[in-house]
Amino acid sequence: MRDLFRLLFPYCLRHKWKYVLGAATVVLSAMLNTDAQVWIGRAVDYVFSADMRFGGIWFYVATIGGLIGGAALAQYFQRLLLIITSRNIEFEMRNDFFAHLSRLSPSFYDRMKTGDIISRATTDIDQMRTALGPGIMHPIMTLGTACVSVFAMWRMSPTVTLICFTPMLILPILVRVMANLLYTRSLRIQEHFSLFSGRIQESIAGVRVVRSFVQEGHELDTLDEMNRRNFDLNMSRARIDAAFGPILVTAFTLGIILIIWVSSRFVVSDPSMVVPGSRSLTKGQLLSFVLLYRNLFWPLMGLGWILSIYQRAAASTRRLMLIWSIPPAIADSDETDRTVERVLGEIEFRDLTFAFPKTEADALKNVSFRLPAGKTLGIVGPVGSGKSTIAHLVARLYDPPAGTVFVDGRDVRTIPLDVLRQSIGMVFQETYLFSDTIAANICFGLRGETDAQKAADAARIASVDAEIEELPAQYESRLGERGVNLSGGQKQRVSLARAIACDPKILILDDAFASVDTHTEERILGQLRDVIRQRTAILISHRISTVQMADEIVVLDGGAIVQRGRHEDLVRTEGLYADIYRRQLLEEAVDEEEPER
Amino acid sequence: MSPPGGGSSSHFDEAELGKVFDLHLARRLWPFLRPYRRLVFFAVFLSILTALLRIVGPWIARHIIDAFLPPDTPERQAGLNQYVLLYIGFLGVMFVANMALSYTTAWVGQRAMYDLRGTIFGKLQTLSLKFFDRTPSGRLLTRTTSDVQVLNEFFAQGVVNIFADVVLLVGIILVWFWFDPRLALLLFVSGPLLGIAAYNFRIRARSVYRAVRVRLAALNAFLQESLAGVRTVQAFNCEKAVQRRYRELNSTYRDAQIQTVRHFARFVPTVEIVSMLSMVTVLAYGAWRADAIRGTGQALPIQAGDFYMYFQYIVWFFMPIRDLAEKYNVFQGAMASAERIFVLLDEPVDVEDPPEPAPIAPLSEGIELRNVWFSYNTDEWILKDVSLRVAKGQTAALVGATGAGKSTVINLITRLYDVQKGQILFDGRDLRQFAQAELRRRMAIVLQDVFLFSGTVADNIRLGNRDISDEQVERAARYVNAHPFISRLPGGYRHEVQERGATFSTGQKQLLAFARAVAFDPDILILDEATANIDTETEALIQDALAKLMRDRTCIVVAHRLSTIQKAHKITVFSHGRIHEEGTHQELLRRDGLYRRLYELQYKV
Repeated sequence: MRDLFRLLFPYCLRHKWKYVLGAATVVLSAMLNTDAQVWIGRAVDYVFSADMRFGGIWFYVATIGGLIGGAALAQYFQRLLLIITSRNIEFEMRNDFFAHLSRLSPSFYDRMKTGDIISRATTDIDQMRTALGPGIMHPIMTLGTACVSVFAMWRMSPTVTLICFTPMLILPILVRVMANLLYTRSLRIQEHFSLFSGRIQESIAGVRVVRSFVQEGHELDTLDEMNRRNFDLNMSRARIDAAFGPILVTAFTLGIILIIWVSSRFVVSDPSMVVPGSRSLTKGQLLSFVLLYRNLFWPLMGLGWILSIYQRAAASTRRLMLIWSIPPAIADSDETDRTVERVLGEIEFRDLTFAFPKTEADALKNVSFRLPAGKTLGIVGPVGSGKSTIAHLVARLYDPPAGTVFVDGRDVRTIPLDVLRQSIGMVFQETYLFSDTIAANICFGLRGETDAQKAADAARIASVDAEIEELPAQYESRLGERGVNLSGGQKQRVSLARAIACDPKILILDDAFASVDTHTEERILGQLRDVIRQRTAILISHRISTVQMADEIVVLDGGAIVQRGRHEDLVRTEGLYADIYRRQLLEEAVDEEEPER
Repeated sequence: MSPPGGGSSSHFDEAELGKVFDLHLARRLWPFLRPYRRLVFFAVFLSILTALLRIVGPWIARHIIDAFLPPDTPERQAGLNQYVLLYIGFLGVMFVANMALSYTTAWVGQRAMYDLRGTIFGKLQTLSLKFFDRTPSGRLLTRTTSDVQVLNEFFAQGVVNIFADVVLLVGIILVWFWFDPRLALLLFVSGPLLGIAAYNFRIRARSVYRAVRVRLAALNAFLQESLAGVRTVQAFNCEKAVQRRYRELNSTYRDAQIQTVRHFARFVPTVEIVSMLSMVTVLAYGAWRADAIRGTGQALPIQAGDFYMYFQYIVWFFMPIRDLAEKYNVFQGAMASAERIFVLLDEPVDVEDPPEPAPIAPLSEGIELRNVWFSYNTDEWILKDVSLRVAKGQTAALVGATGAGKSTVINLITRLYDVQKGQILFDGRDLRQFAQAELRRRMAIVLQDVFLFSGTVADNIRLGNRDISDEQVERAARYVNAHPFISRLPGGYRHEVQERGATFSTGQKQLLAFARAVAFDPDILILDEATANIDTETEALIQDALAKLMRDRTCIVVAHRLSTIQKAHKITVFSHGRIHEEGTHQELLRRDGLYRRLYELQYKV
C-alpha cells in the first residue's frame, strides 16, 4: 500500500488544485442533496398542517427543485474535475511507463514476455486509474454525505440517529469481506480460464497430431474435465454472489423497518404539536430520515468496494514497479564523452569474447578485426555462428565488455548513445515494419519527419520503388493487419530503404537478402554499390554472392573467426568458405534444372 | 509443408451488430436450455415472485406508517409490533427467493455454457484439417470462449430478469392506477420521458464508447508493435519519436475517455433530477388534493405512508427503464454471438466416415496411390496425377525440393484430407471405406515440428492412451534412445513440458516423437524428417533409433537424411507435384538427373 501512495503522490500533487476544487464540489453536492431530503420532509409536514394552502406548496417545490438542481450541477462538475483528472493522470502515467519501456535494452525483452509487459501497461495502469478516480471521489463523497446527513438527522432526533446508524458502520466491513471473497474466487476462475483457453488453443493447434494418433476421445475428455472445473469454480463464486445482493437489499430494508419502529414512540400525529427541542418527530421528518438513510446506505456500502479497489491497485503497483525499477541497462553514463558529436565510421573489434546476459555459452570468441572508414567487411558463416551478434554489438544493442569494440578508435561505451546509433543504418535479419504508411516506415530513422522525396529516393536505391508505385496508394499505403501485405522480399527492401534514408556513416546489412532470390539480390547489390562505397559497410550473409565484393571477408563458425581474406583468395583455399561457395553453385544448378511453373 | 492459409472465410468475419432478437436463433438456442427447462421455469417463476414481493413491501410499510403511528393506544402498539414482525418475516421470504433466483440462474447459465462448449469441442473434432487451415485459431478460440460467455450474460441478465422487470413495471403502474388514476397518469408521463433520455444517452454513448475501444485498440497495437520492434526503434535511435507517437495516440484515447466522462456527468444527474421531479409531483398533487377537501372534515386522501410508498415506487420504476438501453446491447451482442456459433456448428463435415465402415485388418499387401490429384484450395494442384506403391514391410522415401508435394502425400495417406481425383488404397481398398479412427490406428506419424502438449513427458508419449502403461512408455523411450535424456530431466518421465516443449532441442523432440510412434506400435510408420540442424551426438542417436523403428515396418518417409535414403527400398523424386523419377539410391545416382543434384545439395555434407 505504501508503494501505491509513493507512486501516485507525485502525479496527484501536480493536479492538486483540481483535487481541492473537486473535493469542494463533492461536499457541496452532498450538502445540497441532504438539504433537499430534509425539505421533502418539511413539505410533507406542510401538506398535513392545518394552515396549508395549495399555493404555499410552490415555495417548497421551488426550494427542493433549486437544491436538487444545485446538487446535480455540483455533481456534474465533480465528475468533470475528479474523473477527468484521473484520466489525465492515467495519460501521464502511460506515457511515462512507455518512455521507460522504450529505453530498456533488448536483453530485457529477451527475458520478459511481451504479452506480460503489455498486460502491465494496460490492466495494471487501468487499476491505478480506478484508484485515482472513483477511488478518491467516492470516499470524499461518502464522508461528506455522512457528516452532513448525520448532522441533519441528529438535529431531528439524536436517539433515533444513534440507534439506527451505529449498525451501518459494519456495512463497509461486510462489503469488503464479501468483495474479497468474490475477488479471490474470480481470480481462481480467471486463472483456470486462461489455462482452459490455452488448452483449447493447443487442441486446435495440435489437431494434426490428435487426428493422426486417434486421440479425439482423449482430447474431448481433457477439455470436458477443464470445462467441468470451470463450471464448478463459477458455481463456487455464484454461491457468494447469490447471497451478496440479497444480503445488502435485506440489510437496507431492515434498516428502514428499524427506523420506523424505533422512531414510532417519538412520532406525533400533528406537526403543529412538535415542541422545538423536544424529542418528538413529525411524520415528514420520519420520511426525511428514511430518505437520508437511503442516501447514506449505498455510499457506505461502496466504501467496502473502494477498499478492495485500493487492494488491487496495490497489487498492480507491485507488478508495475517490478519493471519501473529496472534501470535501462544500456544508457549514457559517467564514461560517456559528451564532446563526441559525430562518427566517421572506423570500426574495430579487439579480442572480443561475448556471452548474452544470463547465458553461459560464449556467442563470440576472441573476435578481432579492423575495418577502416569507408571500407566494406563481409561476414559469412552457418546459422548460429554469431554473425548477427557482431552487428548488435556495433550498435550497442547489447553492451560489449569494455575495451573490445571501438568506433573511430573510441570504445563504443564512451560514445553518446544517440550519436552512435544515429550514424548507423541497420537492416535486420527479421525485418520489422510498423503498421504505418510505407513513406513513414522508410523515413523512420529521420525521427518522425516524413519526407516523400527522401522516401522515394531511398526506395529507388533499394530497388523497391517500382513495386511501391504499383500499389493503389503508393507511398501512402498502410502496412499491417488492415493494410497491404508485402512479401518477405519486399519487406526486406523497404527496411533497406529505411536504413539508407537516414544516410548513415555505417551501414549494416544483416542477412538482408535472405528472402529474395540470387538474381534479384545481384540487381539490388548493383544498385547499392555506390551507397556502400561511400560509407563503412558490414554485409552479413549465409550466401557468398552477397559478400564477394567486400574489401575483407571473415568466416565465422561457432563464434570464432575461422578464415579471413578476400573472395578471390578464400575460394582457392580449402575450408568452410570454399564449401559454402560450392554449395551455392550447386543450388543455382538445381534451380535451373527444375522446370518453371 | 503447411498448406496455404488464405481461402474464403468471409462468413466467419466478425459481423456488425444487427438484430436485437431473432426468433430463429432463439429457437436454436432452446435445445441447450431444454434439459434444464424445469429449472428455467422455476427461475422465471422466482423472478416474477420476487418482483411481486417487491411491490408488496412498501405497501406494508405504508400501512404501518398510516395505521399505527404514533402508537398511542395499546391496540396500535400491538398492531405496530405485529406488522413490523410481518415485514421482517416477509423480508426473510424475499431474501430466500432472491438467493434462489440468483443461484438457479447462475446454475442453468453455467450448465448450458458447459454443454454448448462441449458441443463445439465435439464439432471441432469432426471437422477436417482443411477447415483448420482456413480458419485462424484465434477465431475458433473466440467461438468457444467469449461468444459462449456473451450468451450466458444474455440468459442471466436478459431472459430471466426481463420477466421481473416487466412484472415490476406493470405492477407499479397498476398499483398507481388503483390508488389514484390522476396521479398515476402524471407519474406515468415521466417514465417514457426518462426512457427517451436514457435511449438518447445510449445512442450517443455508443459512438463514444466505440471511439474509446477503437482508440484503445490502436494504442495497444502500437505499444505491442513498439515492444516487438524495440531493436529497430533503438538501432535507429527513435525512442523519442516513438514516445511522441505513443503520446499522440494516448491523448486521442484520453480525449475519447473524457467524452464518456462528460456523457456520464450529464446523464447521472439527469436521472436524479427526473426522479426528484416525480417526487415533487407527488408532493404538489398531495397538497392540491388536501387543499380541495380542506374544511370538509374528510380524511386526507394522501397520507404520509402514501408518500413513502410513492417515493419507493418511483425509484424502482426508473431502474428498469434506465437499464433498458443496456439490455438492448446485451441482446444485440448475444444474437451476433449465437449466429457465429451456429455458423460453426453448421459447418459441413467434409472428411466423413462411411455409414457402414469396412472392418480393417493389419496391413497385408501395401499402400497405393492411384492417379491422385489434390489441391488445398481450388486454384492450384499440389499433386498432379501421382501414382505410387509401397509394399508391406518396405520403406519408401519421398524426395524433392520444398513445396514439391511430399508432405501432402503424407497428409492424404492419413486421410487428414480427401483426394479430389483418383484414390488411395489400403490393401487394395479405398481409404474412404474405412472409419478414420480405425485407419489411423494402423499408422503412426512423426512430423518435422514435433507438437508437444502441456502435461508430462510420459503423457506426451502415450498421448492419453491409457492402455499404454508406464513400463511400455519407458520401454519405448529406451528403444529409441530417448531414455537417457528423459531420465536427466527434473522429475524424469513426470517432467512437465513447458511452453510446448520450447526447452527441448529439436533432436530431443524428435526422439520423443519416435518414442510416441513406438509406443503405439503401428503397421505403418509415416515420417517427415526434420531439416533443422541437430548436434552430432543427438544425430547419431536419431539415426540408430530410426534404423530400429523402420526395421520390418512399412514406412513412408519424407527423407532429409542420407542414411534414410540409402536404406530405402524405393526413392520417389517429386518435382512440382509430379513424380519426376523413381528407383533405388544407386539407380538414381547413375541416372545423373534431378536426384543427383538434390543429393549433392541436400544430403552430401
